[in-house]
Amino acid sequence: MSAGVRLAGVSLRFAPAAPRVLEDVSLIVAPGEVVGVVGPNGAGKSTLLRVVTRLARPESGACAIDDVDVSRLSRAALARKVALVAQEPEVPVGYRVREVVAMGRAPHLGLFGSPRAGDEAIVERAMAVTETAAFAERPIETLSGGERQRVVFARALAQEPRYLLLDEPTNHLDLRFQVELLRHARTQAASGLGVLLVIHDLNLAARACDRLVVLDGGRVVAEGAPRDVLLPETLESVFRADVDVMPGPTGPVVVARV
Amino acid sequence: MPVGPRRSRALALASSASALLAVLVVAVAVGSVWVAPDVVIGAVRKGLAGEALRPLETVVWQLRLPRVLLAGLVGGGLALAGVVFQGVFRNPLADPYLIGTASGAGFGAVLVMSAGASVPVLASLGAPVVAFACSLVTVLLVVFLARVDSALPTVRLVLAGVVISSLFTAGTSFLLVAAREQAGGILAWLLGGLAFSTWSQVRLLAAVTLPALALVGAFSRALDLLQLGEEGASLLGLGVERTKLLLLGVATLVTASAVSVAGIIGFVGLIVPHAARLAIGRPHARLLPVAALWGAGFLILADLLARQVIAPVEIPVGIVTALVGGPFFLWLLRRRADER
Repeated sequence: MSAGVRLAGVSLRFAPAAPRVLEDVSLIVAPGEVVGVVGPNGAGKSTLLRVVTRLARPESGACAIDDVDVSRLSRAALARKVALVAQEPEVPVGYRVREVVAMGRAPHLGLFGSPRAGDEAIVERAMAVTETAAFAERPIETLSGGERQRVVFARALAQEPRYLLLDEPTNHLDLRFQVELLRHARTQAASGLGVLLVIHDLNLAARACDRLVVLDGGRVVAEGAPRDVLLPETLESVFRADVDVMPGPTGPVVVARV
Repeated sequence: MPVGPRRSRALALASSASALLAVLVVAVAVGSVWVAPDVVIGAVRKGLAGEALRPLETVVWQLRLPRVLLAGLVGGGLALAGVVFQGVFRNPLADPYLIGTASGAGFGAVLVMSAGASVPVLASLGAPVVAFACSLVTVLLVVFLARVDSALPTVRLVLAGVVISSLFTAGTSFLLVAAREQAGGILAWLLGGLAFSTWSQVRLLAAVTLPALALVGAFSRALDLLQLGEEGASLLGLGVERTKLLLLGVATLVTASAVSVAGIIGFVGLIVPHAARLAIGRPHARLLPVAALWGAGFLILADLLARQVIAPVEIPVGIVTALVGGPFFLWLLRRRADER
């Protein structure tokens, strides 16, 4: 019995004859830690997050959250445990930023409950932390890609999950907000959240994550502390590119040879 | 601080409700004889109390008021159904006709009108019941055809709706041709008419539309979550398929009962929700009641035009809504194109 997101031997394919997207993947995200998933395009990183949120069902193996199999949780119960910031989240047309962030409270309110002062305070805090409060009253469709990304992150925070899944959350962000977002992820972890982060930038991954999991062709090929995982041999075989790894002041620095 | 949304909701509701009330009084007052508003109010008071009415008051109570109220209920119901269909399909061009609901209801009602004399069962059930049964069949057929595993992808749903809708429209055309001498009268009803409104129709439609409005209103947050897409809504804890089916069922019932009393009146369910959304934005808790009020006002005004433009001849109100709604819709389309 232990808290955490736990995948055990998860395999999955999208069609009976298709190759496996995930093959025998086992992985644990404990409360309070940031686990990064890296790997080439098509390695199965996003699918991994979909298994945890039950948007995809494994054909074998199991995924449990705090010792309850995800298939036994109701949608609302699952939404109180896990928030996912998708890679290209759908932006609803016709809403103000505040209204979009407030949607994160839905799993706590039930279908017919109305938001209380406590819910409004949580929404305000989520917008303050992500610096989206300044455009709280603006229609969401007038925002830039990076601003929208922060709004979606704010909504995930307003959801107050136990585990936060982030799929390429730094995609549309400039350097400052990339760093800010990963800092928020770390702060959340420090206050007890488990964070599972899919990320392409290996250098940011090395700084933001306690552990890294390298996926290639649906399999876990390496796992461990960033400095033990980000090795030239591993990266060259996984990414099929020549890289140099140098020691930096805050962890390994990966530079691709062009 | 979060006073803004609530106050704007109250303001939008209050101004829409008072505008509707004004439209109502004017629509009852105007006609072949002008009835002063104070006489209108007096007639309503006496009618409600069951007191004896003077001739002018009888015109108000027995003829004009049921007609205006029926127009309001039909318009409000179609706008409500439009908000639901547009919200569930996440398609601003969706309306009660998209998934064949109206065509199914029209077929059912025409079936009773044309074959009711020779098939007594149909006649005893009555047009509203058969219309609802047929539109339920269309929805079930469409859902059955569009279903993949347990999901209802929007594209398949819309395609299935178009196919089923044209099948039922073909069936209606066949019934019209077979009906021969009755065809003219049925066609006039099918084009949308409120000329023979009665209090019993008002009661029937109110008994369906008002509870439906309350029910959909209770689901307004679910409609908001659906705007995040099926997966986005699931991730925030919504049972997406169940919610969709319930909302579509309610919208179907509202559409079918509107069609069975007033024929097929186009554009209300398409234009009104669209205009309301442009004016006041989306959150459904705000949009739903405002769109319903606007739909009611719009159809009351359209019906007023229909009976006044070339009085004493009436034109079908469906023609008026198409003439007003069509250009408005084209303007909307162009506007959207310009924004891109």
